[in-house]
Amino acid sequence: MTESENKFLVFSVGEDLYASPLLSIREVLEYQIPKPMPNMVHYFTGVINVRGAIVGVIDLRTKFGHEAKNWPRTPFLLCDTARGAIATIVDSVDRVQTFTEEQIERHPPVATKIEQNYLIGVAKSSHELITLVDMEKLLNEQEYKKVSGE
Amino acid sequence: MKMNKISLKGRMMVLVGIMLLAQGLLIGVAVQKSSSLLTTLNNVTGQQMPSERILAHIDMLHDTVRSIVLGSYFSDVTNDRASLVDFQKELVKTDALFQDDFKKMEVLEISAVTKQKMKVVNGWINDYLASGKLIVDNLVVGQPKKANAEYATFTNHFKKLEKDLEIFEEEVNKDTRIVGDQGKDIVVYLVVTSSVGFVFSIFFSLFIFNWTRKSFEGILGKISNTAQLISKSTISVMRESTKVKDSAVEQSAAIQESVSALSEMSSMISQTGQNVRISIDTALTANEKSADGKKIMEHLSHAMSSIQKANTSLQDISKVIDNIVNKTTVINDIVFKTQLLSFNASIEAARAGTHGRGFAVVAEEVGNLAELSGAAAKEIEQLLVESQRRVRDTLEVIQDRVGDGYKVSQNAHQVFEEISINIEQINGQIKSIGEATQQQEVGVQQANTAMKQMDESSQSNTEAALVAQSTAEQLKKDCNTLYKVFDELMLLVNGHQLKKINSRSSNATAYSSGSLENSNHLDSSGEDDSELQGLVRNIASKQNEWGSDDLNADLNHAGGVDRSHFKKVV
Repeated sequence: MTESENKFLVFSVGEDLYASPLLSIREVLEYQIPKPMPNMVHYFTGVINVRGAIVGVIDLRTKFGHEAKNWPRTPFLLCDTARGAIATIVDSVDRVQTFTEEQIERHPPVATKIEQNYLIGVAKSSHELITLVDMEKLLNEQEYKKVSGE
Repeated sequence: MKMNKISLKGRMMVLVGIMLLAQGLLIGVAVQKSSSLLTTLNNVTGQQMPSERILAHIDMLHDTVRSIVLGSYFSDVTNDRASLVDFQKELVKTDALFQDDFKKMEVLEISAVTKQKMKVVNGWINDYLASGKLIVDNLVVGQPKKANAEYATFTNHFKKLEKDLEIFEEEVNKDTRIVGDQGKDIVVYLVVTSSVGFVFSIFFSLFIFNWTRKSFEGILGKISNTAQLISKSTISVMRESTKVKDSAVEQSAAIQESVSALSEMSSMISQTGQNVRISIDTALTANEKSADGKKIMEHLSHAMSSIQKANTSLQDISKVIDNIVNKTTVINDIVFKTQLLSFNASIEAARAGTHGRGFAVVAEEVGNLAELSGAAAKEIEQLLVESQRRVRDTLEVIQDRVGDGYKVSQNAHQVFEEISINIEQINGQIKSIGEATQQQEVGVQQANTAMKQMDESSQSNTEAALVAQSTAEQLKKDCNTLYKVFDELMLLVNGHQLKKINSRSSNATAYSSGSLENSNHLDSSGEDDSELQGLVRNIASKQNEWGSDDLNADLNHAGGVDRSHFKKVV
């Protein structure tokens, strides 16, 4: 595993801290009002225009079971998935942090709100635990179909 | 009770008049009877007595005739002629005496029957004398035979004469007896009329006496009642006068107190007057002070207005702070965007792999700077917010205070205004109080004068009450005297009245103590008694009231007397 692979972007959703591998994220975007789309799942808030490309927006707060609330400085994380780019709404972007392999617990024996397929593990920071989320596997096939309309 | 209306004098006059009338009648009848008796007596002495005497003389004479005849017979027998002639002469003399007597008898005023009888007797005497003369003459002549023959006639005449003489005597005696009967009648009449008059006088006197006595008792009862009433009145007068005296004394004391109170009041009023003057001064001062206060309040209002203005400047500061806060948001935006940029730079550096290592460091540094700027901006914001809050608080406080102050100063202004008005009113009132005080002073002086007069009158009241009391005491004594007089009068009227009253009074006491039997008895004792009972009751009550121990003792003693005794006395 390279050094880059060990770098994570730490962000917060609600009270909880999450982190995703830095390379899985293409860009951090400023907030813009998503254009809502009809008949979508509740965490799919709409679509945005990112430099000419239309990207779907998923509200991680809703998806992770938190209350939805928007504020002007809510950042969007533009992620690359196998099926293309997707924007996720988080509460704040905190920092870029490097976790060693010792710090990462890959199979935590805990039940979380997050489905196991996109859960990488739990990183033990100095004084907090950070949930590591794989943004590429954020949506399963079925969900992705619903979102992309394929 | 019409009789009661007649005065005592009238009654006595009536009594005396009736007695005098009775006496006069008695005397008149007696005089009449006596005069008739006297006439009869005159008759007896003037007519009957001589006729009796003449009758006796005649009686004697006819015996003399008989003795002459018998003497003549004796002389004839003895042949004494001289004596015979003497007898003859004597017989003639006797005849003359007879005739003389009859003549005397003729003159007397005797009854016709007697006169007739006398004439019969006269006739018989004449016959008798004639036969006697014949006998004597015959004897003188010496013819005894003729004389003897005549003797039988003589004796016959004598007998007849005796008989008629007796009848005549009877007739004369009858006249005399009539006189005696008349005298007896007069005596009987006098005795009877005197007795009747005596009894009538006694009864009439008793009747008048009883009548008068009852009247007296009635009047005495009334007197007793009146005396009792006077006693009561006297007692009440005494009581009242004592009360009046006491109350007059109290009044006097009260008046004295009032006078002293009035003088105190007067001094208080003058003190009040002084206080009023001081109050007026004080009120004036207060008015001035209130005017000063008003001015001060006006100043305060002005000061408040300037504070208000200063507050407006403070509000401007607040606005400035707001602007600064807005600017900090811009800074924050910049910080945010810088952070985003640093993240993106990090991502790009990571993608660049080993080539992007230095860039990654730069990106990290930029991120750090951005974080620092953000923190600084946050601090600034916090400080500004704090400043703003404080400025707002201060503003609010000042605004509130100024508003309050303004209100307070306005109120104070108004209050001072009102105080000023009130002080002026007070001033007016104090002035009127001053006037009133002056009037009061005058009034109190008048009251003082009145009090002095009252004091004098109260003293005179006390004296009058004392006089009334002594008068009442005198009256009480007089009443007692009246009772004594009453007793004396009762004694005078009835003699044994006191005893009677005592015995009665016991019953009366019993009556007054509500004995039904006694009351029945008293009711049955009649109308006459009721006056006395009233009297007795009065006396009893009087005794009870005056509490005379002696009388009570008597009463108790008399209490032993039972009703039968009482009845007896009644």
